[in-house]
Amino acid sequence: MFDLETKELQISPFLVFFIINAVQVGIGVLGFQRVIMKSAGNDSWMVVLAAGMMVSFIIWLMYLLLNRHQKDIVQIQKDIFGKWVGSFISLIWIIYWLLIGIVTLRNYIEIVEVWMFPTINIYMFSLIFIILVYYCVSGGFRVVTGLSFLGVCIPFYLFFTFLFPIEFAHFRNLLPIWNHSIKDITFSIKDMIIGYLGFSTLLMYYPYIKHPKKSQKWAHLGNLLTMVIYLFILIITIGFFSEKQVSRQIWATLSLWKIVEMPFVERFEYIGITSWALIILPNICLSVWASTKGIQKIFNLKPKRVVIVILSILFCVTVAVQGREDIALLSKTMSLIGLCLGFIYVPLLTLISFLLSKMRRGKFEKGT
Amino acid sequence: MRRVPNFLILCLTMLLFLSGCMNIKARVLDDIQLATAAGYEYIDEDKIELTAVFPNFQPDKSVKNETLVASSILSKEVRDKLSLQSEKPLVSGKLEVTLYEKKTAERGIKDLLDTLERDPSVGSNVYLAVVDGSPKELLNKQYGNMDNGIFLSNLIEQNIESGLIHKTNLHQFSYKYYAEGIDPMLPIIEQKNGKINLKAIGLFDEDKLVDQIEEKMYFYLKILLNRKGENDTHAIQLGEKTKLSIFNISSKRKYHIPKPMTNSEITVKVKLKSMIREYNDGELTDRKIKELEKAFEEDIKRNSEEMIKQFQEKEIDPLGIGEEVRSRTRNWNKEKWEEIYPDIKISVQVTMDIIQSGIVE
Repeated sequence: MFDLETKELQISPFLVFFIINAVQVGIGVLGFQRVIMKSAGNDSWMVVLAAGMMVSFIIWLMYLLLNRHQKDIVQIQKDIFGKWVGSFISLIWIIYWLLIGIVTLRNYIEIVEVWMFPTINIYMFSLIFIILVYYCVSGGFRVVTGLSFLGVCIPFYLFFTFLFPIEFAHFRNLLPIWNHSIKDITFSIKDMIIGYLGFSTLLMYYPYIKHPKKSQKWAHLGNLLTMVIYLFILIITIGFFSEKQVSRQIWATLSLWKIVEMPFVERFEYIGITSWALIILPNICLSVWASTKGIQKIFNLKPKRVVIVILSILFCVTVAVQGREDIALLSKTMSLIGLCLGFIYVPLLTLISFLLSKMRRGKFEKGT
Repeated sequence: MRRVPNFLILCLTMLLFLSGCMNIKARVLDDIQLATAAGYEYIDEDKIELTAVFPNFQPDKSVKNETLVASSILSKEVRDKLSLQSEKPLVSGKLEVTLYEKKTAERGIKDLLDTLERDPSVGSNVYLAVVDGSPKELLNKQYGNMDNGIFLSNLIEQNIESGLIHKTNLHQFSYKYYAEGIDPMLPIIEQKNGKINLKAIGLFDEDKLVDQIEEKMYFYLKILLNRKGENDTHAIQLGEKTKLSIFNISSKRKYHIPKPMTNSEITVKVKLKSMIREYNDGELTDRKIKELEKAFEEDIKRNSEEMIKQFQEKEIDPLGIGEEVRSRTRNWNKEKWEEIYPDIKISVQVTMDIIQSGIVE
């Protein structure tokens, strides 16, 4: 009845903390301020809090669903909707996860292009990166988890460098509170949630967690850490920049680094951007792993071949998308699908599964 | 199973070759010209003359200051033109100081700042300054055993750290330019008998230089500008004989705005803790110190209020009073504030506490 993986392939529940955090903190941290401050201004910190809480709620719903079925999403949907419809919806999830990987990689390459090497050969860059991803993903889920752990711990020192701008910060900018209407604030929540997306891969790796019920606490804590990181950077941004100035910065977080000066390095962005590769690597690996696993479960294929196909798609789309507008369009599509799936479909699915089990139990009781 | 490691080894060896295909231009430090300072001046309606300074390292370890001058309509294009005169390509990653001629600053420097803000290789720590005179001439001279970019940046940095002038750099300028309710300031420098002098502080209305305050007013400006300060120095003369100079151990500034966005009075409360550095009218008794405190409070109050009046007449707000009001009002309206700002009564209240008088009585 249960469909959990064998013990050798499973991970300890506390590692979910790192996976959730690694997949949420990605490229969005570098430039989320402009979008949310456009309508919520100096009250945006409330937006970060509200979005974090909503995501926590969705994670709770996901656990409700997963704990009931003890299976991954592909099989849950097969059980509920039948083979064809279930597989079709699973395919949408898979495309969405793959899009997360593509968007992350493409945005990262754009940053490297704009900030460091304008003439960089993106074919080569993505190829090298994808070979690295292949190496990690082909090692299985435990390797991806390990990478998430390192991807959270090693680059963590970067967040301390955001203390440098405090010297120039005007924290009075945070006042007055409630300067914007609730409507404006709610409107930005949608934009902020995009920064938290990616946590839905939980639906795929749930069977790989040892004592999965115990991991729920860690998932919420991982989400909390993401929220704290966003909040920390946002508050410094509000103090450091004036509102109109933020609206001009495409990557406000990177612009914060422009003020950092250390005796051994003149410009910190170069270290920051290169270190960020380690933050986005688990991000891409996890999304590629999730889509690979999904395809493999639906069509019963060999995982190695699936990885190669998935990575080829990743590569082709990444190099085909050029220019800021196309990249923005791709990101927008991704976040729209993510929002619909996470915030409309998941609650719906939980409800359906709940009702179905009620009905089946009812039938069962009638039958006896 | 053995095929996987082989494949990986192949990939890893491939990586070594691939790095050559990345198309990243390596820039060797010896093969580039690092511009450290730039001077801008409009020579006619839309042509800019740009003076770039770079260090020329001599075999005997001394540094020679060298400049290149060219003019065009956009500053990045001038840089290309400068490269035509140079044996190595000019890059702007080490830019320390940019100077603007006074007339240029009066015309507005926003267009000239765009290149600094847009270029990812230029830091936010670049110092900006206005030059009274020609930046070309100023940058052409050798002032120390270093190039002028480093020299000027040390000069400004030293004065900020020792508390003589306010904190200023590219970031602060753009912050105040874009913020509502505060206007930027930049130091004005001049060249005098082969020396550089921080002559005054230029006050901007948005990006246009409109006024300046002289060196003797720096103290009042500094204690009013920062919420917390230290290191300021000040000297006054009382009556005919009494002269004294003080040093600020700490200063605190607080705004008291009972009814924001109305014409009601705004009070700025300043608390100073100081020590006497120099005094030349006999013995310093406790009673005398009390008198001196009173006299100082009077002096600071009078001069600061006068300075604020001057700002209000020019309709500029370098102290950020508007920002204080903004952070106390919801749905702040910039136009309305600008309308009422010149007529608001702004008074200064000073409490001075002399806590030390040096090692003699």
